[in-house]
Amino acid sequence: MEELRNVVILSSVGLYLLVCIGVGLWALRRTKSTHDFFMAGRDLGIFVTGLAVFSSTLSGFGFVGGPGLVYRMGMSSIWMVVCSSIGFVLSFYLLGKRIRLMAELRDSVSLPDAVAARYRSESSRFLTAVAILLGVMGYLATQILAMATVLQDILRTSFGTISLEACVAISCAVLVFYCVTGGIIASVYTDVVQGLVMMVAAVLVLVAAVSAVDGGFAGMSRTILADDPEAMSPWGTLGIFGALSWYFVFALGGAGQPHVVTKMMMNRRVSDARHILPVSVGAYAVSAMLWISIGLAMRALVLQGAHETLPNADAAAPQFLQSYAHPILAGVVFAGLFAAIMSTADSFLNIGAAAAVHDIPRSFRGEPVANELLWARIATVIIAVVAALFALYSGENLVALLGAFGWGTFAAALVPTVAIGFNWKRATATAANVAIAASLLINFGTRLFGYSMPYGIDTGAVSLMVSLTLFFGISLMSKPPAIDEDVAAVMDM
Amino acid sequence: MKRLPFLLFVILLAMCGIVGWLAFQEPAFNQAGIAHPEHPAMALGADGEARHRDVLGVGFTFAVLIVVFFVGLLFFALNRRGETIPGKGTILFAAVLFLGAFVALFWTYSRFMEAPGAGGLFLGFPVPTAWMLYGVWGIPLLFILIYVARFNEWVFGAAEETEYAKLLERVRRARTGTQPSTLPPTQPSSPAATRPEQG
Repeated sequence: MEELRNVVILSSVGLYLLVCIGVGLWALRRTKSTHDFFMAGRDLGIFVTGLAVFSSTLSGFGFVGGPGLVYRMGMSSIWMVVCSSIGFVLSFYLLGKRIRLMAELRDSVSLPDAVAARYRSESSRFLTAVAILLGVMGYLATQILAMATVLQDILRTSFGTISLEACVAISCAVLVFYCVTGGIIASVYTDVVQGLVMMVAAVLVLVAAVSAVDGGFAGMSRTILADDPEAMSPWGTLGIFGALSWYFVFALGGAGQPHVVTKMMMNRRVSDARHILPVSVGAYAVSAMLWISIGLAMRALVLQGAHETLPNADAAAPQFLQSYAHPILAGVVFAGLFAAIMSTADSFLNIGAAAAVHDIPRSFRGEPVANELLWARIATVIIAVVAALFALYSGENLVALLGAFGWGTFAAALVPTVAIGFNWKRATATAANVAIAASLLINFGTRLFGYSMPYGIDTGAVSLMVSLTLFFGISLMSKPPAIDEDVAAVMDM
Repeated sequence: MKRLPFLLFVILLAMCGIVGWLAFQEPAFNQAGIAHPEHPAMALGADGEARHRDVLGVGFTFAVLIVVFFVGLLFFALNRRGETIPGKGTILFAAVLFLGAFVALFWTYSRFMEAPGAGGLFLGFPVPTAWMLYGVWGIPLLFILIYVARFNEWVFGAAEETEYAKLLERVRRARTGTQPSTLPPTQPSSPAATRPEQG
């Protein structure tokens, strides 16, 4: 079986890509309007929405970067996983009902649409769309780069070294195909496939990791404790404040991720939110097992001398799969890795296209562009091409800069504006605009000038704290704003 | 409910204050970890007491502020018409357990820090880490149970569903022009058409 390892991996990834193309063709027939393209006709069921919310949240970072961080820092990065329970709770309590009500009431096809309705402000719509577009370009570029790098590694054994440009072209072609043909409908239904693949992969990896180290998790703990007790303490090597700042920004920041929040506008009935929440949390918890188990297992195996030291932390997941996973499991996990990357990337393509074609023009013209569906499809291609070129030619540092910029910026810009503002009638458009501008300035500024916070505190957490403080402070000091009667009625429910 | 935004604002100011205070402290050599001497891609936390002894209390305060802020946001979300918060007692009960997990985590860590590795393992992990994994991760599931079990009473009930259906109908009629309406679904309304702030 070992000699067939690469064939099995290639077949799994190929089969997965074919399924994505099939879903795109199927969704093409169901996409007849802009409303279908951006909002899936607001007709998604509980299971589909639940898996789409979860799989959009867990990107390729969770499958490669997550285990790498555990290998490097011990338990520190587990706070990004541990926060998921309260994070989903916050997102659904704050937005599960209100964002869905608001979207239907005002027939919104994007998050900036709903923001403009809430604040009666085109400037808020514009700033929200700009923040989304900037974050999307960074996030998308990193996802494309990750996808191409993995493909290059997989193809190397069978076909020799293939250029990164060719790998970007292959992986982007599938992504763009199903996003252009089927819009968000293709995106959410591929998310279902992707979510299921991720869950199966995570469970199988958990079993493999526990079997790879004598004594399972207890054996891993003892080995790591003997080398460095702090790495196995709840704070890991990063320390209290770094870990808690991750907990804060990743828990609350979920309510500000536009690719996730937008999915909450698409379920069929408002009351479906009640069942979507446990589906999303359960699926995330299962998939997070991969993050935890590979990282701890590889750190323990290297410390025991059973595996050679890793050249870099991100090699933890690929090397574990090569050395300790059955070829079929490796195939499923590599397909799962593609699934994790693509499920996030397709969401970004869709919300980026909405920002570019629907929201930014509308904030200036006051009306949508003619033939919006055609332009949305064209914008999807253009955004993918620009992000791919950006990933290839802007230099690794700029991509990493913008990739890291994504989550923190979305959190700091949109948690006050959307998660708080949709629940608090006192919140003003000025406060929302200042919060968005502050988040862009702080996140870009600190990363551009290489400023890091003391005690390992995450810059994104600081920008979230600052933007929230400004948002509350400015709103409390301002006169209560005027709100449209129907919007006020929804906020009272 | 009227005081809740002020409370949340004060909590945020306190959190910013803690971060600002930390910026002026003399950090320990291993404040955010050091490089592993043998494995270049690994970090070490090294001496936990050296880096956490002086800031453990501040760290605990920071964690409590985060928990109180999160629970405050849940109240914010459940508020109805800026006046009532249904299920306050149940949410508070779950919140106390949630806070209790952090208290247990910090308390057991303070002992772990003084005697690294002592205390054995609980379900495969050191005791403070087990509190993090099973307590801090697990206890918020209570909030999910509450959401699922009391959705109709506390989040979106039959009465609101009917009220919303009527509102939607009025808005749609206004949009298609089949009935005169004061509602402005696509254009901003006049200030007179808006309700005063209640929150």
